[in-house]
Amino acid sequence: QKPDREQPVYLEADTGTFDNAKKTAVFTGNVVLTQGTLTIRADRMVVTQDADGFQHGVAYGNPASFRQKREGTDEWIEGWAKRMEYNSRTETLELFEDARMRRGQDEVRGSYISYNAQTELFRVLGSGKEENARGGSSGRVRAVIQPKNREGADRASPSGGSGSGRSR
Amino acid sequence: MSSPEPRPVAVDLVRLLDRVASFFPVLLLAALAALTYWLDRSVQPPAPDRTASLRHDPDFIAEGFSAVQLGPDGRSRYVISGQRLIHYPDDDTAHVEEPRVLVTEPDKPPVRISARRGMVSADAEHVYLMDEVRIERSGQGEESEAVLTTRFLHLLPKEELARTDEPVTLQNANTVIHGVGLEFNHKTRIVTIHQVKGRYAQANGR
Repeated sequence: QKPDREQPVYLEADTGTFDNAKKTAVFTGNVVLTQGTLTIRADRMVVTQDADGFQHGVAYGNPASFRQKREGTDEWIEGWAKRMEYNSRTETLELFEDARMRRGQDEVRGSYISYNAQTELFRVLGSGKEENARGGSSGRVRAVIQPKNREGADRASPSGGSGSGRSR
Repeated sequence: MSSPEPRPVAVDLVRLLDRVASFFPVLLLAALAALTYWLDRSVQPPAPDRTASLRHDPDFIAEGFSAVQLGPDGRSRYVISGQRLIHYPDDDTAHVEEPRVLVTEPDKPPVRISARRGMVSADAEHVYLMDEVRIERSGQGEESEAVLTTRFLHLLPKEELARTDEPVTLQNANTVIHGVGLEFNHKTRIVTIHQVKGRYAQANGR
């Protein structure tokens, strides 16, 4: 199974508008992008290319979602957010507004999650707003980390504010 | 951890569609406008004793015609040809069988347009290409050849618009885009495709 990056990319949408002057493409309506095991679903996707050819994609949805199998494992990573931004220069995927990311049994929520594919580091930020303690999006980072017998798996710190986790 | 690097195809679609912008060179639209002007000039006005009911009779038929427009540099800018051209004075329309247009702009790859049938309305306000409509733009440098195919294409030279509601396919070496309905605005260089399905395979793996 070739890695996703080398697979053909399929993209479907109700409408695609390509602005050659601004070098942007806007896809609207049931946008589905697939590449190998990766699938992104969104209501709207805007893709631009910067001067030296790096792509920057923004997906909007209620929520937009992405799903991908980790290379060489049969573990899936999934993410949801109202807005997801991908930047191929930094290979970073950023989830904004009701961000949620799940890997295997672990799940993290926050107002912002950034995930860097190269370093495999992800950062979760709470929205900083303290809200009532009885549940509801309390603006804090909530992480559910299942105990694992893998040695040395770091834990995302469940405390408020930013937490970062490394996975191997 | 594998990289969820979606590498959206869209930007390459943008590049492909950059080519679409050059599918519809202004020259093409000017060429079609000139076609009718050329017809008018070469057709004598109908004799005054025409019967009252102007029937839809042709007044001018050209077989195996070819018209070449030269640029200021004396080089051919476009060639319009066809197996048969029939002009009807009552509505000033020209019907063309097997229309072909070759557009050559300086330091730009040539664009070839073909269809089974074409129709040009009075003063080329509207140009319709029908059946096996094909627009081909030759490759240049590392840009591969790009082809647009559809069953029907409506060109509006004055407004610099081209549109179809029919299925349309745009293709080059590593990208294929299917859609049902396309609109191209030459002024804003914006292409809109409905029910778009794109497939992009990197030509060289990575």
